Amino acid sequence: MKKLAVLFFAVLAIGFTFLANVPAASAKAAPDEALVGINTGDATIYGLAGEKPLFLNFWATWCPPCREELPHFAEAYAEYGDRVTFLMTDLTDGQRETMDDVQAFLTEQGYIFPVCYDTEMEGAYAYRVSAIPVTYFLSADGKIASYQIGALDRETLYDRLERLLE
Amino acid sequence: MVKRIAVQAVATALANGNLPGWLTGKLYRGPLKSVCVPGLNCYSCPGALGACPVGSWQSAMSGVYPKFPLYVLGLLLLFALAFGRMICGWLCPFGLVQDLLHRVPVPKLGKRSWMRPLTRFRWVMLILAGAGAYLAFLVTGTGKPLFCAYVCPAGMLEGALPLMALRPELFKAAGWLTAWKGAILAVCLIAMAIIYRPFCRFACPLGLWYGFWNRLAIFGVAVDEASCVHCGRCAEICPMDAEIAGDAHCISCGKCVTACPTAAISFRKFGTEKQGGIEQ
Repeated sequence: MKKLAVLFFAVLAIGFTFLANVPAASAKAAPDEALVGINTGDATIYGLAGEKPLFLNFWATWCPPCREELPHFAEAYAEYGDRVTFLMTDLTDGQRETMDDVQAFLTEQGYIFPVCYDTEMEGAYAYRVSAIPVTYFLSADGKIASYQIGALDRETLYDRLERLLE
Repeated sequence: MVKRIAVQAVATALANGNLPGWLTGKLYRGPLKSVCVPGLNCYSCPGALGACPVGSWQSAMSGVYPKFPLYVLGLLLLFALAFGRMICGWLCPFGLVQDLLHRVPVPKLGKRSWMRPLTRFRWVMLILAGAGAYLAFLVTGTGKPLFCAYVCPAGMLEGALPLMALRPELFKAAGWLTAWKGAILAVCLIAMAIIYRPFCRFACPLGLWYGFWNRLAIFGVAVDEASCVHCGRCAEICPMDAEIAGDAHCISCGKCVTACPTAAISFRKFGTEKQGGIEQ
């Protein structure tokens, strides 16, 4: 009887472990809702992306690994900014992070890449952001080419950007 | 029989074998990190090669898009069915910390009658760790790993302290939360020298979970019902709060095996039934 119970739960457990959902997205079309939810002024992400591939990063000033990758992003923006649209999406929830916090931080650090403010958390919701930093590399036709949860090192960043442009 | 502390040492070393991390303070983020270790070993420990199951559980339910941690549940169930609380006694690094601290030669507080009821406090921790992140999501719109963030001394000891020591810029970011968790850790460390495994017995949600499955688990200490005369000798000698060897409090340390007058206690082996005891 005990062995049967163990077997039953073991089968269940194996099922859970291996059939659990893989997080976020694969090479599917980028969520459409996000394309209207994030705003900088009156613009929407879709309007900002235009015809170019999109580098979409979710970050916040209170997140150490996010801050660590910013210098790489600044460099990459300088090099690829004309061919890829960079959108550094800050999780501006108004409590932990306000637009003032972000603007002060950017001025202090001297970062000039484009930043947008996900004030309604719509972008974060659409892209299933549960941990930051997370970066999505979107092709020009709106598909998610790849994504990375956690800080991006310089090598991987440049490799993914090159692949986006192929 | 292999010495328990040797197995504990090896398990701790294996779970924290990321040597570059110990030198640079950078966390390992390779493929192994998506596998949970069975014990309480913080993901943010610079040496950690695997993920903490309790942390992973909460992490899945954190952020703005909480997910049910099916994968973590699967692993937790597999660990529980295989070893039950033998994990606590043999594999958990934080358990090893407590065993070692208890060896420090200071006055000891042995088992008292108020200790067994105190083990129910683990339910509070289980709710906090198990549902807290989702409750935070319902209330604030963003899930937060409450147990990790506000309570876990293992995370403080294995994660925060080494990281702050290796990377001074993190230390500069420390504030009231760090002080709070530091205080919790300090109290725990002192308690651990005086009382045997206070965290395991009174606070650990993981031990509570494994305890549910302890009697069913394939490996671990078990009592041969036919030989047991219910003398209570095993409960007396038990350093945890077991009422009989192999129950939900038992961490399979094996101390009771030689204490049993009818040799009814042994380490269960898969597929074998313990045969008889001493003929009366």
